[in-house]
Amino acid sequence: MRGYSSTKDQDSVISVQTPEGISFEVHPAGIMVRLCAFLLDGTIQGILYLILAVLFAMFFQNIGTWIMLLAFFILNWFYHVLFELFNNGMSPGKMVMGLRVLSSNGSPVQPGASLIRNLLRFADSFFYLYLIGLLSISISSGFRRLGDIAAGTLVVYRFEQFTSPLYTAKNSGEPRLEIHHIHTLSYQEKQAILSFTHRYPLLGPLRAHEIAQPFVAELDRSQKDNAAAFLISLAEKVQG
Amino acid sequence: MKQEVFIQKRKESWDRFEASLENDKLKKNASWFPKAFRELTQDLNITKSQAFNPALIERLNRLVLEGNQRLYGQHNWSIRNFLDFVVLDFPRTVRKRWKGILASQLLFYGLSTFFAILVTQQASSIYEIIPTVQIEQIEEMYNPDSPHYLTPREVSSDADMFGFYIYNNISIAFRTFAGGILAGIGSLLLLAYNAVFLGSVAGHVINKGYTDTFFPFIIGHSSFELSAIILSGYAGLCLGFSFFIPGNIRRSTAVGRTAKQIIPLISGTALMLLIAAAIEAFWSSRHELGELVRLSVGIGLWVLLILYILLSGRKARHV
Repeated sequence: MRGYSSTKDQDSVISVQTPEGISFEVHPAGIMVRLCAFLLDGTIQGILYLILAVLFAMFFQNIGTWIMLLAFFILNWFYHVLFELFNNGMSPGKMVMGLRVLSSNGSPVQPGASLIRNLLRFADSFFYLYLIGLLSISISSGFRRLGDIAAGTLVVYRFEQFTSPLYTAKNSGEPRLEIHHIHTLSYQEKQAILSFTHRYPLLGPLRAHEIAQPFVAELDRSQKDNAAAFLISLAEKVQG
Repeated sequence: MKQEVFIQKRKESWDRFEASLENDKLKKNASWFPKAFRELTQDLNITKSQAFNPALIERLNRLVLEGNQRLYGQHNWSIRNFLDFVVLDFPRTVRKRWKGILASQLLFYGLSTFFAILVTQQASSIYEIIPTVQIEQIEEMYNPDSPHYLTPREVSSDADMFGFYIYNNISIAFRTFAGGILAGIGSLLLLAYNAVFLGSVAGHVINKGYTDTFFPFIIGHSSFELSAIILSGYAGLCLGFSFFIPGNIRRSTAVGRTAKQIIPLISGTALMLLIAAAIEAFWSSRHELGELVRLSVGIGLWVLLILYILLSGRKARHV
């Protein structure tokens, strides 16, 4: 039976329904990516603090320290909230790492939820160790920390980070092979080949060959030695 | 429908959709965008059910995600919404949860009264509660003979104090709130600490006879500040309770529901502390106005606050 089969059983993929009556998939982001985004955001916040402090040191005769204190307060508690609400759910750190904040039903994050999520950052970071946040992310479905659970939000990947098969075919360093024989591939096989070329840049030639070989041996025995190149050329053809 | 024909037909619409997402010229495309989005969702359906190229499905999936965000992500900030919050949502939420809030207040004021009485009866006990350095600072602050009597802290201007109070007090309230999800322990600890501190300082001030400087000073903003801290502690306790005792629904659902209900409380807390900071910075230290004026205004503010909570938004608004 033909049909789109997702990798729901292996990957952590969440399906969300839209009001239009269709569903699309989001991929929640795990600990390491979120940690990177968080560290980036922390660095940016630190830089902003410095800039503000310097600015006010230069001009404080005219302006007064109360604006600086106000700015520090907003920077401390509302940095993430403002970006989440006015920048499509993306703080600068998340933008760099390709993440965004969504509410669990796929709709954009609401102001109240954003507030709760960021206020509870203090709970997740209890004693600055972030153990509670890490525990929560590890245990919950969808990699949520306590703030996400309370606010009903998810941190998801904005787009697949993998390269396109055409790019891989040009830049992989594998020889381009002419595919003469027409292979009839099932949908799952097509998906597998495309995923392989997506991941090729991360695999390295040896590992790619190791993965490709059993599959190619079944498809076309003559190409066993150039398994990875064969699959990439095939993928280029499949993608059209 | 064959894949090539399908792509040929729809490609232009998808490219235009993607371009409008990136360039953010939504205003120009305002009438076309929703229709294009609906068509896009149908395209995604078709590609999935016909098992077309997975790369194509991925692209359409991403476009639907981004389009969904843009279409439904418009926020609606207006003065009317803000007024609705102040007049209706906040007082009604407080009244709805009055039992829990009353319990938190009893806890807070009970603790502070106990410690105030303790310190007045046993003057030396203050030194076991608060560090000596801090006690000396407080004495210096409220001693009428002290030369720095008019400027309670090192910072001199009122506006600077305003900024400081905002930074300090609202941060404390937010932390009190956030600590609550950890089985309520964070909230309870912070509430208890504040109550004990307040009561002990009050008792000590009475012992030392600085009542004429202390009470007129605090009476102005105390209504807003104390109520706000207690509210934030209560909100935190609600979160912690729903997390650890969810009843017969999932934990995440329980916390999510409670969080939605107490968002008005925490927003109201921030607003109240803003007002308290303004009062504390610009009004409370005006010693030249005399004690009677400040005491009466302070008591008046208490009465106003209580009336506001009790009465505001009781009548249903007729549109």
